[in-house]
Amino acid sequence: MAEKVIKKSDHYEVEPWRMTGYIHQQVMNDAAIQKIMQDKMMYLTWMHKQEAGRCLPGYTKEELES
Amino acid sequence: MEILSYKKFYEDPVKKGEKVDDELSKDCYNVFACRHKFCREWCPDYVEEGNESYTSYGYHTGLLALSRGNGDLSEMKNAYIHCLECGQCELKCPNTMFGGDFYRVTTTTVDLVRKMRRDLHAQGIDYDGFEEVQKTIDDFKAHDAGPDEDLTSWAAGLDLPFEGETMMFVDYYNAFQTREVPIAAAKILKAAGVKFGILKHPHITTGELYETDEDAWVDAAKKNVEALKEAGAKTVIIVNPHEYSYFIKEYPRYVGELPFDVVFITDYVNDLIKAGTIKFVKPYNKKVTFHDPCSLNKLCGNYKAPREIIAALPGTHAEIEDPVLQWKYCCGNGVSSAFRKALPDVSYKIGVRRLKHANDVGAEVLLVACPHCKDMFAETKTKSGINIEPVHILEVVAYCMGIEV
Repeated sequence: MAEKVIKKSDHYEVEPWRMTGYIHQQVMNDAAIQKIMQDKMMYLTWMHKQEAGRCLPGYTKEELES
Repeated sequence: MEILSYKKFYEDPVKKGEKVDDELSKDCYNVFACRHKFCREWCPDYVEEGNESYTSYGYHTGLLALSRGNGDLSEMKNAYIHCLECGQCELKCPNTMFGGDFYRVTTTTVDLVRKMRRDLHAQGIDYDGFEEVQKTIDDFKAHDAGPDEDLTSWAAGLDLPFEGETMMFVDYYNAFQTREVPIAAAKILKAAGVKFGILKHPHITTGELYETDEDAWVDAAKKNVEALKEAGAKTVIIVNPHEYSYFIKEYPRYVGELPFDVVFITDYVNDLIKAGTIKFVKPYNKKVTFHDPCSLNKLCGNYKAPREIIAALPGTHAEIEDPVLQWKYCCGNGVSSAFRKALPDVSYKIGVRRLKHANDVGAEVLLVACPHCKDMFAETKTKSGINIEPVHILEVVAYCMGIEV
């Protein structure tokens, strides 16, 4: 990995000193981090369920030639 | 579980004719620079109105434009009222969802909207329809200044003490407008043998005040926490999900770590059902679906307990959707009722869309866990004629327990 990161309870965080130049970190506790992780997994799982069960058909020969 | 996530530089007010704070300007650029627009796809207001100015993208971009000298603060008069404060945009924003936990920087649209409504109000720039909102605030302030007996009159005959290790916090909306909800909650807990008390004088918590006069709201927050502490609370059960989000997300910001645990009523009741303390004696033979309150599902990530309660109800046929799908819906009230009061037509359209969707899944009853949702859906049902009954989940639990509410 190119950047040094901090690994905390199953997720990665940027080293805080890297967030002191342009954009600063906001006040955020572990519960807020956990909520983001929960939302992310829920959303990706939901998206997967929407899309993984079907395969979009490609163009037919007639459609391509029309 | 306290969820703390906020930006300190939001505390500096945006003032007419003055330079916008550099931190705020850069923060707005972070959203402006995005081309995904996930924020608008499921925004209930954008779905109805189709105006990008009224999305997370629009709010941040407008402010960025202001910081670059393009436009005037008064032009934003009617923009920020179009936010329901449901939180869909900020949790679905890639800045939050795919980078927030890594960088500890997220999109905080709800905070920004509240801040801007406050800043605009402080400079006398109020949105059209603000008078109705001010009237609500004045009514609630009058309750706060009124006699203690009025605030607890909903509990008449329930013989609840004003102290205890377990306290139930009942806000003014529940205490005066949807009394059946706290009454059902209290009767369920009593029937389950839970020893609990209520505050003799709960102080004002309404979101309309929070986004108008922050100091007064914070003052009331401190009084609530102090009163609960003095009453001996170790666990505080909240009956209104709006207040639940204020207690776990906003109170710690101003009061520090709370000296008690905060639990939402559905979590508490669900635990009692699982423990076998709550027993059902009557079936509820209805086809139901469930509407997640925005303040519970989107703002606090709490969605499991209502689903488990509904699954445990005898005789109930439930068609319940994934909580993620419900990110795109709102009842139309908004977490602060200012939206509903200032934009009743948009509010109605949002409510109709949700009711129609509930109809589409074949439900005859729309269960809710929020008094504001219940009130909003009841009004929408009457106006639209869509034949689906909004019922609070606690009323159904009480019914199945054989309790008369």
